[in-house]
Amino acid sequence: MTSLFLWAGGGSARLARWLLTLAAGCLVLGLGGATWMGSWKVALDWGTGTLILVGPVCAGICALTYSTMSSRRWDLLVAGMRRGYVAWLGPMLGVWVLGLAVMLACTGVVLATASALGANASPTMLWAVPLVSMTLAAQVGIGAVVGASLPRAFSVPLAVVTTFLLETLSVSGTIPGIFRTGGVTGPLAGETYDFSVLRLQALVCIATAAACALSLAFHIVLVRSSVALFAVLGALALAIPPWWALESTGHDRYIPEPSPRLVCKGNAPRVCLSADTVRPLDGLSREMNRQAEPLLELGIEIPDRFVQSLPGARHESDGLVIFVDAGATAATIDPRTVSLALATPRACPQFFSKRAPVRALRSRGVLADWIATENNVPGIGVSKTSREGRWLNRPVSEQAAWLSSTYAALSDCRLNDLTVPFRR
Amino acid sequence: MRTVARGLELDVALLLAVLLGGIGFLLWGEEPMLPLIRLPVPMPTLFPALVCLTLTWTLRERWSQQMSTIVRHPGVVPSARFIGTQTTCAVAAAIAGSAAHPGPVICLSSVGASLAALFTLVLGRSAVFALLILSYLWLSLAAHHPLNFAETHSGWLAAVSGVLCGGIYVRTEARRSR
Repeated sequence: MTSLFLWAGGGSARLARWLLTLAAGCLVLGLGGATWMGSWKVALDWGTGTLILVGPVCAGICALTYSTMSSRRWDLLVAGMRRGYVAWLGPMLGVWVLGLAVMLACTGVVLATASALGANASPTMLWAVPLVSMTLAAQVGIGAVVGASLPRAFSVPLAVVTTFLLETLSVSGTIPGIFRTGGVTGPLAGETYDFSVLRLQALVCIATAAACALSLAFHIVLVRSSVALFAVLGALALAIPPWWALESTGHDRYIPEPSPRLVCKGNAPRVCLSADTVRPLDGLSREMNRQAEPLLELGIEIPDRFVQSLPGARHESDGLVIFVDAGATAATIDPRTVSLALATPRACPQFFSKRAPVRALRSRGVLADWIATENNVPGIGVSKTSREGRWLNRPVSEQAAWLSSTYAALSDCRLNDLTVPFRR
Repeated sequence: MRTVARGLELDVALLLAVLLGGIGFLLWGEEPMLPLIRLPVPMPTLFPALVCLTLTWTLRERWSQQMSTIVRHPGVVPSARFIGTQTTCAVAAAIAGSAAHPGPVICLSSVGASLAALFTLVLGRSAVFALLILSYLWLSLAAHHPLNFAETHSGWLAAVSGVLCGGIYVRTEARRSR
């Protein structure tokens, strides 16, 4: 049994591989900053996304191992053994297990952290983990074939760069997302994986890994080269139907959930966020109540409920909360987000049309600036000498008429009636 | 000379450098999206990373036992390796950036090659993994804080890193071969 692990080297070599692969995984998570802490779904995506660097590192380790084995003619040695194929293909499996273990460890840590910080779990999305692990199998397979086929010195960088370029091409859409494993930049609120896409991508990766394993096996199994070529090409051909399906039907990994669950808090106004991103809810509810005071004092009727903007879900009778950057997963709330939310009392369809209602957005911006000014929100970015700045400094009695009419127009989606309260 | 270049595998590296440079030249205006990096990465930023990942494998001494038998000064072969690797990296960068201003790209590639020399001393064939991690850090940093290539004093950086890292590389390799 011990002889099967000779390729792995001594204890220090094994430890170095573990540490190297783990460092790659940790680097990916470190680059994610705090975005994955506020959402279980994002944490899962970043956990599986560690393969972005773990994959090329594993491919490189595999290339290093096979190039060493090939240069020492290990293939000739094991070809005559009864279970030679185990010794020959074992390293490929071993490196895959190494990468998988690191990916699972990273995923476990980020999921546990996100859960501990109050994120709601979506266990059905865990089915993505076995599917994504097939991508790692394909990357390791490519590394093994490169290592066994090319000169020793050059094989490792080539395997690393090739697998990384495949990921880059997947992200840019040149190849249909096959080597994309995660690292989403949005909050994934109200979204889930499109498992039909993930399954098709996994099928392409399984076919690639099988072709690589067959190609390796023919180093030690004596068959005609034409037979070997046909077998490898046959395995690769299995990747064509799922690839074609991905090209024709689209390959976006994420789709909107049919009925996203909301979690609400507070009264007048009540604030509802997706159950996937509840981290800022308490702070948002408090800040919303605070910033609503100046509007309520003027007798302006604000909506009963403000709902987070979610892909595919439209709550047209409610106010709209739009988070910018990582706001939906952050622990603290940006007061400007609240000012803008209060200035959006209804999710009017015009806001989501292809042609942006520029004039209405400008009026909404001035209204948001007024709310922010009245609540002493820092960093509004309006010069006191500008026309808007001068208007914002006027007494509220002079501003009230415009504020009431603008709020009413925004609440009724009469966006064509909107104007700014000063000459532009 | 030809034999020395072959012995150091610089002929293969030069061929790859020309190939890589040609591909870089064709794609010079592109700004590809890389995984996990929110902003597109311009080619002048990406190319030095690609060069030092792909072309610095020649820095590793493959026949260290035989080095002790040569009659020349022990620093000659490591120096030739270092200079040869710097040259191949510069050739790739010069071809790729020839349509624009290749100077800063050549310099950044040279800095990458110098760092690769240090990694090779410590990690041997595993240096490429450390280079991958470093390159990724560089790309994510440079994507979010774009460098002004015209103003960057990359020439000085390349010269200092070359002398420093090259000196350590040659000295250590020469000691090892004694």
